[in-house]
Amino acid sequence: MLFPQPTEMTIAEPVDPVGGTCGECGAATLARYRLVDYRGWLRVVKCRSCLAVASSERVVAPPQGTS
Amino acid sequence: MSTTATDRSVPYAEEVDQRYGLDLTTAEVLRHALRFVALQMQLKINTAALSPLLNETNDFGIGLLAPHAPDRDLDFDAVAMATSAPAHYVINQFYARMAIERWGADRFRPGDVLIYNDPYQGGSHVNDVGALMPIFHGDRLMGFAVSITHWLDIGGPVPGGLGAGLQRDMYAEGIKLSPRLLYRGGELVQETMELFTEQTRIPDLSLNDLQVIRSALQLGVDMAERYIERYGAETYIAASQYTLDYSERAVRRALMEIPDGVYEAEDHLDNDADGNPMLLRCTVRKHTDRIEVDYSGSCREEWFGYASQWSDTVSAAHLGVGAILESIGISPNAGGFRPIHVVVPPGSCLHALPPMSTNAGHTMLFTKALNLVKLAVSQAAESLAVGENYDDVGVLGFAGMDTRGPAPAPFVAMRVYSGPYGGSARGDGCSFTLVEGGNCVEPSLELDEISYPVLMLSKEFVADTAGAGRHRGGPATRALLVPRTDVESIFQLDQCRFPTKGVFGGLPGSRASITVHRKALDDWSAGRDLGPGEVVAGFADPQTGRPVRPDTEGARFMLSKRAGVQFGTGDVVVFQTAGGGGHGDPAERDSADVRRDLRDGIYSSEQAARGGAIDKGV
Repeated sequence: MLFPQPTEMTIAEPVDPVGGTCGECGAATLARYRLVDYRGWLRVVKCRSCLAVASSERVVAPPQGTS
Repeated sequence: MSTTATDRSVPYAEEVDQRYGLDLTTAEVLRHALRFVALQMQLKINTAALSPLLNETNDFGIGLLAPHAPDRDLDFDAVAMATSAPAHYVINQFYARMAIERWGADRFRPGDVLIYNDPYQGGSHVNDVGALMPIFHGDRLMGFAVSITHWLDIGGPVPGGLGAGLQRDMYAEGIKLSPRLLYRGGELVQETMELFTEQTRIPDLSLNDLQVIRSALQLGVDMAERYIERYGAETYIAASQYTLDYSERAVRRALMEIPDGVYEAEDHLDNDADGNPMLLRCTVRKHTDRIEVDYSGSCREEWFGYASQWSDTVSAAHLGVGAILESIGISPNAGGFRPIHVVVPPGSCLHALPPMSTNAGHTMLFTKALNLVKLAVSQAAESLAVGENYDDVGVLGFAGMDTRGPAPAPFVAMRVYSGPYGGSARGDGCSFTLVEGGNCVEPSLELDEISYPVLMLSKEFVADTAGAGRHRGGPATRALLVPRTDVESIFQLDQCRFPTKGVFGGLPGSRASITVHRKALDDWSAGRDLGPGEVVAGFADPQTGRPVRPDTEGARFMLSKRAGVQFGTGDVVVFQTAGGGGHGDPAERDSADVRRDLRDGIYSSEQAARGGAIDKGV
């Protein structure tokens, strides 16, 4: 799979706010985004305050396809 | 294992028995045995390989993957790695496991060796060749012995690879192998071997070193199988789980030492292929025993080698955190990676997407990504802060025809250069060590001079280059090299444009540079002054090519990473690293330390040691 060079000069991971509060710290700072843990790529819903992961799913590494 | 913090890094015996079904002594014996196996495999490479990158420099990673046992949360995780090139041992967790998934775990038979080097499959760059061999107990697959070795040449248009400016995309990088068998049931697969002997510039080395890799993997397999035979398969599996959990527990305990918070840092790579600086950003979020490293905001990937793989960046983030926690001495394995999450946006220079070339970007961007973590966490507390070290794997390579023997022979001579680290709360920065991701050593000068038609005239520290501070950075190192035949070169040396950073009042170190004195070997031999030379990398007068200060009107920046630059017989090439950044106010430097610096030639005057005007390099 081939990709075009981005037109933006800087690149940020899209972080989508998610409603509700963190089950661990109670903050309303849940967000959905991609990250890499020790076994590879995940899409997570994660608290931006205490870093607790509310949910996660394995996704394909972007160079191997869309994720 | 639990994801909450513990106040102990070592579990009690009854906990080990209850959780793993092991007595503590057996668990500890096998935990150390796994690491011992990896170290023995490393020695095998050191003692038998012909490539200086393998027999001396240690530019490889080698070790064991655990069994696959879902009930114990094991999935061929990197359970034990040796001490060579940490960048490689972290990547084994992705590179090897993705190769196994692609090949199919159920296809392996005893004696097979799989080989692969597609960097877009969890790797680094095409010169880093992955290989693995299955461990069996009867018919039961019990894990793998794995290696990543840096190949001195992998074919393609640029001898030695690292072709910044010449390799536009991944199609110009050399041979790239999807996973395939190098050995089938212990028998060499000749066609695979011939890919290396026919398509690289190092057929003799390849012929030997591919067999050495197999030999080292076989050693790991034999030793692991011996332990499995002695202790039993279930005990070996339980001990693998214990070993991974042990490192996780130790890292989580160590993370508690970092104050919770959000810390940001930015830096620049000297240039892309067009000469533009490349912005790199890092945000570190830390809470209790969890940490997230986010590289959002970094500049986009650029053609001609200015991009790196996500797996490289993840490896850098892990090692950056590890460098901050270095006093803990944690055995590296995938368990230690569990508390660390990394955000690395696709399409950024730290996460290339096909068909970008990552051959050159591997070393320079890896090192930047690692140091960014240190710079960010430096803001958390003065006790954790470190001045910036030289942060590229400084490389200078020559390729040409060696005419010293009975018949001309092609050669590729490449050295990686150690350099200085920044000062810290503990003391001055060390003067001469390779960047953390490399942990390599420079090969013997004498052996290099025998092996290749290249002379090393001198290598020494340079006065007034260390960033001043209460604890200063290490000084720059300057090396003088002379090719004895006409050569083309590759070089990468960052911080020729942007000097290292000091922290908490510490000052920057000097800039790096490469210059050349044409046909000057006789002058050097006669002790004559060589003068300023001609700038190869750094700031130059556009009319004369001589070095000038960066703020000189009209100063032109000569790219600090290039390939294909020609040098002639007898040219004296001067390769100088950056100086390390300082830590703390230099006015507070202990007087005895200043006297020692003057005695050792680190500074030429007390004024310089106290942060007065010194030459930051031109």
